[in-house]
Amino acid sequence: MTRKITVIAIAFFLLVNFFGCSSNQELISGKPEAENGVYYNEKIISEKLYSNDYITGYLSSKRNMVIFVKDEKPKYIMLDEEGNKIREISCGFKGKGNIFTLDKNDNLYVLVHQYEKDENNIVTEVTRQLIVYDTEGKKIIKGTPLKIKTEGDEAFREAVAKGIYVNSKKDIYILNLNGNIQIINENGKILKNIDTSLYQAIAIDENDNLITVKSQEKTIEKIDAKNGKKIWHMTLDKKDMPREIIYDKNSKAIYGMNDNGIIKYDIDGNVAKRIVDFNNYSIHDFGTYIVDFEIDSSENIYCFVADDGNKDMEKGYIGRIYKYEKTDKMVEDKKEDKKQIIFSVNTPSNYFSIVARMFEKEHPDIKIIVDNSNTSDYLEYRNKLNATILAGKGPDIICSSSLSFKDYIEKNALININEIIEKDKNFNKEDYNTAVLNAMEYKDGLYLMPINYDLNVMIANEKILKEKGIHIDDKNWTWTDFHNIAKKVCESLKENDQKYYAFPKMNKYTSFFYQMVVSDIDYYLGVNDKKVKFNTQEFIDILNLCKNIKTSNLAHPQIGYEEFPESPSRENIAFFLNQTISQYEDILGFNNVFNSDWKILSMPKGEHDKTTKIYGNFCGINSNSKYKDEAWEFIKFLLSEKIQAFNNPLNGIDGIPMNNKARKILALSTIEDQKKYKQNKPERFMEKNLYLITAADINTIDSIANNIGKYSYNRTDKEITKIIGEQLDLFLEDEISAEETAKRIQNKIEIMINE
Amino acid sequence: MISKFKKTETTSALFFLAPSVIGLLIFYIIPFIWMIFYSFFDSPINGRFVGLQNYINLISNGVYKLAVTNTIVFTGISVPLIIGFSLLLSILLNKKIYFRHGLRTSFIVPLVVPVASVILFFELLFDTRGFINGILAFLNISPIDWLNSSWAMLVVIIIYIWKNIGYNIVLFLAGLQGIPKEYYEAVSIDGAGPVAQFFNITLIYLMPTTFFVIIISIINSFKVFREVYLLAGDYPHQSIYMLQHYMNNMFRKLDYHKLVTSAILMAAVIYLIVLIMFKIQKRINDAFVD
Repeated sequence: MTRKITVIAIAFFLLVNFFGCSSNQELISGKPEAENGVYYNEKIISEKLYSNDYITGYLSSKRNMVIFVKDEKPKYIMLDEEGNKIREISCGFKGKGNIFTLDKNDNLYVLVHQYEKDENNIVTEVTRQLIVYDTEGKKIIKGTPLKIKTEGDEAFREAVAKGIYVNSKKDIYILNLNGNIQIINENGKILKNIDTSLYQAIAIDENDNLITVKSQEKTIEKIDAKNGKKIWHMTLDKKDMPREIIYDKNSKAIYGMNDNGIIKYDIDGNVAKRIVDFNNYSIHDFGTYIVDFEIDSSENIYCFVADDGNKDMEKGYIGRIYKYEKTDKMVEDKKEDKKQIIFSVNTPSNYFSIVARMFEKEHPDIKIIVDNSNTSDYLEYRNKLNATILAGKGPDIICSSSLSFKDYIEKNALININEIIEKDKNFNKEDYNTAVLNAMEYKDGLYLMPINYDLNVMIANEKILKEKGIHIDDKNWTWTDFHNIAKKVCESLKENDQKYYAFPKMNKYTSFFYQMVVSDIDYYLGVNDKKVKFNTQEFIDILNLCKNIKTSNLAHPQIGYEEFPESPSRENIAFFLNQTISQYEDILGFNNVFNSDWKILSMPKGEHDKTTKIYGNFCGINSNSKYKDEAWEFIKFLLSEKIQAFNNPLNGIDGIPMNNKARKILALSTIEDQKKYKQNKPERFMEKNLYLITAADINTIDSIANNIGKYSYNRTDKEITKIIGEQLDLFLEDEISAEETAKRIQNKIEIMINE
Repeated sequence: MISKFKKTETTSALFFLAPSVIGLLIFYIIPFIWMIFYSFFDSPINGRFVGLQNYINLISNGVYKLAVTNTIVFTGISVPLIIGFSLLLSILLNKKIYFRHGLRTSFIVPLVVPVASVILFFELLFDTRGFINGILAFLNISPIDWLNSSWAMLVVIIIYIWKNIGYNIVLFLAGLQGIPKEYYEAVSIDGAGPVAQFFNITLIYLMPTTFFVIIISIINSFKVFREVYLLAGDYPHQSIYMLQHYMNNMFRKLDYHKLVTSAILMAAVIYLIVLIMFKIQKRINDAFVD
């Protein structure tokens, strides 16, 4: 009897396992895998394509490419598979013809855009006109121009199209910049709107259904175009979300492209394979933006790339076409001969991959693998790192800003870079920001090399300070000074005086007070005299000071940080606390803090330690690494003037560069670029109340960087942060007294230090 | 012929045992031996051989001594308590009372409830503004910060007993049901009351079960770390900072040599305790059989 029951139970479980996991309409996340045995060769088949907008192209049925260019006059050119020009179709229109497509008979549909600008160079009117050319270049349809007034950014994005698509029944779909899909007739009149959701890209399949990409929801959907109903949808990880998609009618496959590569999804969106990983190729040079792509029936890929950094002011945008040809064998030379360096970093940006490829070109015997897979979970990243270091391995270079580096340094997991610098004749510390270099030293050794740095500053309302006669020496001021100044700002001597406040309303005071409390962390931890001093009157006084600041009326009752840009009465607030500057450009928006009369100040320091909080990309070399010298070469490359002077906002990283010359170049180019920005788009400047950076501002920022003191390794230790933060939270919510807080912190920290 | 049969039987037995044995080797035995090697070096990365220095450092470390003291105090209080309670309850449950089966099941439930839900409940009970403090306020007693004062040990004991009493009850019940009823009847004919019955029959015949339960309870007293860690974090109040906290923190700080040293010491102590218990049990058994 029991045997029968057992057999039935086992059969039941097996059945459930086989049929329970069938694929249904929804997939939670498809993970891309590299296809085996297929390799793509990269080559540039066309260069120096000029246009008045980003270059994009379409494949005709004969596998020729049609592209819109504008040399002397606008025209469409047709290139063959190897990029040779076959013929031209001259346009009979003025304006931009880059929004076009080919239907199944190779007729060319273009939605011509013309802009009317006013004296401030702001677009006030957009004219759209549909023109259709046949394969000979003859106009077969010429729609009526449709004029749309565009007051403001939103109307502009509604009027300008991002793409035009034609299905087999010759219905015309328009995807606008604001993410709307419209069906129009030949005269440009809107016949139908498809679900005003925000679509980023669309494609049409052989049954005339729409395949759409919704980037905010991270889904790809197939919609029945007749009634707008969803046929299926697929949710993806952020790194598998495409920016553009294509549907191949022959193989019935969906291809998507994003900055990481080209991904193939099958008809139900079940399995995604990354067929090309751009990080393995050189398409991601600095300044390039991959606009769009096409795939032919042999799965060769064509990528249209805009050379953003080299925009020629007269000729306009410069474009290139990369072709990825599918082959069966690897053309790359053997990896075994190369020295492999693993560079572990936890930012999602592909900046490091780009620099790694450039480094590999100069050092063909070294291969750098950039591991940026762990960007979301800090604990997971740290545990994995610890485990690999314990096993005697681990990445050769660890690049991070948020690890508790003290643990690794104490365990000799990172080598002393000073020793390498002494032996290296080509590296001179004077070429780099010596204040930051000195700040990063730990017990007379340098274990982390900063590639760049962010500064933590306070913005002060000069108008109030002048009125109250307050002068701040921000190189030397402490939190007690700050408290006294804040009190002085808030007191009104005479009846009719304007009431000022010291800082905005804070929802949670913990992070602000935490800064105050740990500004002397090395002193309280007894780094120098080995005595933990939390349970002292001094620390209790600081806690009570925090309580005082919180309960006194130093904060504005209504205006918090979120309300700052909109509210005009923010001029009555004296300090905007905790602003990070990671680029010189960040100053652009500071007029939205205080309208005109503002000043950047260093954060106050503690009474005893003179440390500040800085972040950035800090690189350490693993003691277990077999290629320490090569790793150092790569770090030097990251610090070189050529690399640090160019930071493309599209695929760069945050941080002010360490290389002195690069920093100067970047400062000058920032000033130049912003002047040009104001000249070209004055409406943006006015609309967003932007501030034009000057050389004096650069000097202020640089002098704050020179004043940072030492980087406190204890301040960023996660355990210490947790212990003090938790008790501080309880204290600020009046659950425990200051003495109790001090006692608890003392006990826990003592256990921690003496373990 | 028979020996050949025995040989194939042995080989097939080994064959079936092989997966478990290999797993045990890879995940327990070999790492343990590796750990013993590690404990003689002073650093997990590029360490030097330091012999017994790690052990000496560990034993003289104040925080380690605190952890050991707390662990011994906790185990010393909670194990006798839980054995007393579970013995009592199992005797009661052995008699015919209402809802006997339901009650037996309900004591097992704490063992199977996921730890995260258990923690939520205990936080509700013992928080400064939790349920128990609410009752105290009702009785006009000022609230006690349970987990952050010297009452914390009591909280951990309560959690330990609540969670593991079911397991012990099951074991004791099994042992009780192994005592034949005739013995009780025989003794009651001789005029022994329930107390005498208890001391002369129940305790004696439960001896093997009791030893087993003691060992299991001691081991379970180390497992209570899970709940304590979820409630109070890496650095709880000093009275509940136990050996596992120390070891967990050493792992986090990459101080693997200290970790393995303390783990080996703990394993050695547990081994000694179990050995002593077995020897005592054997001695009593032998005396009894005679």
